[in-house]
Amino acid sequence: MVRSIKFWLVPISAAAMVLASLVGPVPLSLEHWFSAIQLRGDATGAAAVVWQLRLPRVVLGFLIGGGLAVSGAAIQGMVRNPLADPGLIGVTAGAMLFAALSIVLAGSWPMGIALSAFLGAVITTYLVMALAGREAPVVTMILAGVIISALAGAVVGALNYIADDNELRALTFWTMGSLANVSWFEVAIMLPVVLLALGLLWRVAKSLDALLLGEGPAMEMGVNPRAVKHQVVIATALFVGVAVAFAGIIGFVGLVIPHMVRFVVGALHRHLLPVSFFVGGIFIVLCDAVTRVIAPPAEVPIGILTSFIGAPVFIYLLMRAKRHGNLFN
Amino acid sequence: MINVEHLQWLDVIHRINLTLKPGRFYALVGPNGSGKSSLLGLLAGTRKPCAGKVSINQQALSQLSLAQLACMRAVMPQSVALNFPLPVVEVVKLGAIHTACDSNELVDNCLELVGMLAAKDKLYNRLSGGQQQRVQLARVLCQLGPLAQAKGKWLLLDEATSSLDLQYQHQVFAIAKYLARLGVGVVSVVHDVNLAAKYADEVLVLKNGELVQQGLVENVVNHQLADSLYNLPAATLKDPQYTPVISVARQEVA
Repeated sequence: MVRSIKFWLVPISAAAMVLASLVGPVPLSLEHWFSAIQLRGDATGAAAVVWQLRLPRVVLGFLIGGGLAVSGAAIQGMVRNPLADPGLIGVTAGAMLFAALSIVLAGSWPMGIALSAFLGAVITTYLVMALAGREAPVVTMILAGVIISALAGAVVGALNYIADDNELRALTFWTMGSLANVSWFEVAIMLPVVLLALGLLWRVAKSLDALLLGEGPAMEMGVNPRAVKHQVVIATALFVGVAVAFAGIIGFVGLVIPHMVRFVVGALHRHLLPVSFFVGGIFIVLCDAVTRVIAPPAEVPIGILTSFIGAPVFIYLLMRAKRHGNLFN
Repeated sequence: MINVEHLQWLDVIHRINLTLKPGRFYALVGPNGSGKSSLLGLLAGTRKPCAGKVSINQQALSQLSLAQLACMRAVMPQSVALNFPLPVVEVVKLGAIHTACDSNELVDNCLELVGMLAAKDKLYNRLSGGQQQRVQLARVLCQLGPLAQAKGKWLLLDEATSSLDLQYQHQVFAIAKYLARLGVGVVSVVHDVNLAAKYADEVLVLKNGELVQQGLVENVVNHQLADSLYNLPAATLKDPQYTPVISVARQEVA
């Protein structure tokens, strides 16, 4: 069954991306879309809308959604806790803080923002892991996340005061999350980053399975937990850092998507990681399409929509866990 | 062969010297806090000694990577809880993550040996504590590989029978004994001295982090052991067919 799910995810992802590139302030029919797609060099009309606005946006959305979902799946496996998520434990806030610092102190150079966000994500993940300790209890991790998010919020708030109009607009964009104003340039940076991070995680997929039994048993089976953790942290920080740099904070994807996927394909990472990537990508592509049609011509920031979907799902999961004593019983 | 020389770990293990031979079943006994699990962790190479040296088949553990160690010995912990849904068969296969020997036949054989073959597709986290422990034993057996290739490897059990009913307590020890006959060295931390006496070849007695006694079961397991280790008045019963049995006198609370 898992194999057929994996097989169908590719055409479904393509269909979602085509569908999402049809909707927007200028709706396109499928026929228009096909004729526009063949006119790549045309800088006017439907071809420009598809090639310059919609396609980079859906491709980037797909990569970001997939990356965030895979990050959540890997972090949850690493700390053996199904409630861990880059947003919830403060990694996203750490990335945002560094991105904001970079904007205000060094200007809006995209590579600079992406690198600072990556650095922020790495530092925060290690900080949370150090605070949570070896067993990484969820309460400590989430409290660490609360502290880091509060600190990041305070610093970003302070930066709002010293920022000029342009910087203020950029900062607001970061805190709510949006895929507007992206181009092929962002895709060109994001794609190799995503491939690199996916490669890092794929290498440790089996070791992550072993870590589900605990660090002690994993070591006894020949897995070096520290090496696995470093790879997961770097991969997650790559995903989250670049996603935050280009699209701001898009919450709950890393929590909800792997959780749902686990119900269907189980907890083995060789299934969980690729399926989460595709489902997360499809989810963000569709959410982004919805943000464009709710109140045209205005756009609702996508972070708001994912939080509206993710928060109730999270509450449902907590209630379920309370009822059954375990998230998966 | 496992060689332990002047082993020291924090203030838990004190200057232990020990030689363990493959094909023997060693029971490691001692009161709570005597350092049994710590010593097992040092033998397994998952704890680093503060001083002294542990070597397995003439190779110092400190020179071996975790992956190399995984091919030489398997360790069964007291209990393993899982927060995620993994089928029993996948948990068992994880044992072979570094030995690259996870054929379906081996996995089925391991599960059959512990009486869990019928549950191979069930989710591990829905099993009882005792069933989970049997699945963990199957995983550890899977790590040792096919029985024909297990000779010279080591099986380390840390209170492997703590959640098991009487039948499976005996089954686990019978499996360990069988492996020892095939040439596997077995070291098991055990609280039930009488159970140890039925299956083990030798007993290692640990007290306050020191190895206070080592010898054949018939020379070590007697009422003096209960008295010196646990401060309990006891008698040694003669069981002509099997092994010595320690019978502890009933304790009255004033």
